[in-house]
Amino acid sequence: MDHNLVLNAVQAAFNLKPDQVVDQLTATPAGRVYGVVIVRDSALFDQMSVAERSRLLWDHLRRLAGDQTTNVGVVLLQSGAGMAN
Amino acid sequence: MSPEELAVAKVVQAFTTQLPGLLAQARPVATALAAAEERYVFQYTSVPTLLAMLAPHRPYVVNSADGLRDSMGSVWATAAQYMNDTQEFMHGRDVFRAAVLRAQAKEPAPAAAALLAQAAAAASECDGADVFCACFSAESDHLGQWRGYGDGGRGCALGFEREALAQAINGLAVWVAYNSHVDIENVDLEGADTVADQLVGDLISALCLKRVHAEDPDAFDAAARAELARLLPTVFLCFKDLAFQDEKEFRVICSESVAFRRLTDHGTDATEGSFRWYRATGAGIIPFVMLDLGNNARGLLKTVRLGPAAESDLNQSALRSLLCDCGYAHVDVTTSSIPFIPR
Repeated sequence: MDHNLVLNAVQAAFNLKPDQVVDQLTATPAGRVYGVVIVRDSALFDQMSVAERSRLLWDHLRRLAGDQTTNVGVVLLQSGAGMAN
Repeated sequence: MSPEELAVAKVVQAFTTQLPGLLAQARPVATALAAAEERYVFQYTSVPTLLAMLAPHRPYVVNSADGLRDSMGSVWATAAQYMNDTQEFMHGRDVFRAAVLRAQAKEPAPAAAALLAQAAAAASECDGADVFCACFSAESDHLGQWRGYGDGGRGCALGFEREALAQAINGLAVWVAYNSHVDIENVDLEGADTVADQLVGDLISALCLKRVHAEDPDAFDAAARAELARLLPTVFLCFKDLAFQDEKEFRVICSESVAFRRLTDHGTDATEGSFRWYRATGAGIIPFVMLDLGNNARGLLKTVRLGPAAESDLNQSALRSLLCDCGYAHVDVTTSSIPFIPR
């Protein structure tokens, strides 16, 4: 549930289609979702700073699920435009 | 920036930016705020500071609509080393170090163990010299706040709309997590601290995601240590001793790693100067920064409550007049209901 929540929040935050999002999320044994989401071919995403992206993602996470209903750790948002790390 | 430094910096900035959300998930454990109290937060301060914030620094700005942004376009954040309770920083450090010790006791994988060692070292090294903090309370009329921060009851409490403030301000806006005192020499390694353990776990897990791709893990670890030394004072300030729980504190924290650096895919493309101001108090000279509130600065301030020793009709009248002159006619003026007369 939280896994899909994060992907939905990423899509909503950056106005993406499903094929623009590469899911590399994982989860701890306790079910806490965290990891990397790669975003492809988004000029909006590419021009934003790391902080701006993260802030926008969490704004949407909160809108979708509220503060206390999620079990989500750190989500690293990464541009698919040729970035290895 | 080396590739390792950039990779670490991006993880740490993502962690930092997401920190309010990470803390909010655990907040029912840490605090017990009623929903109704959360809409507004209150900054207790002295009347001279209120005047300096509301009234222009330059007299000719008084009637200039543009110039007013120069005055109440900001919230003042005090250097962490100069906050009223110097133990706050130490408490947060001990909470974090204890969580690291507990994580190390669980025999983590080698990559996590290496990063936990760097986190422990960074926690010991950092001093919070370049971290600034603005403190608010969910309580609008609280005797302890008046005594501690509101000029002994002679000051006032500025009421801001919390969510709008958090959105507008260039800093990390978080509710404080309250923890019992930690004896760092005798940490119960079998125990748990829901909030701190989770934060340490989140931080190390995120760093591990990138360490696995590092060509030079030693360089990655060194970069992690340096970056964490910059970050951790901010994390420490998210915690406070349980004895202060009734303050229901909300903080805006800023530093280079939190607010003053713009990090992109390719590195740092801008670093905003954190211009320091200084104010005189009974305790001496206090460095602070002004955190810009943006174009809607006036709209964020909703109420001003006069303290129990400053609630005279004349004061109320003067405050209303000041607010009107400075473009804050919409702000409600109220008075404390606490029967307290300072000696």
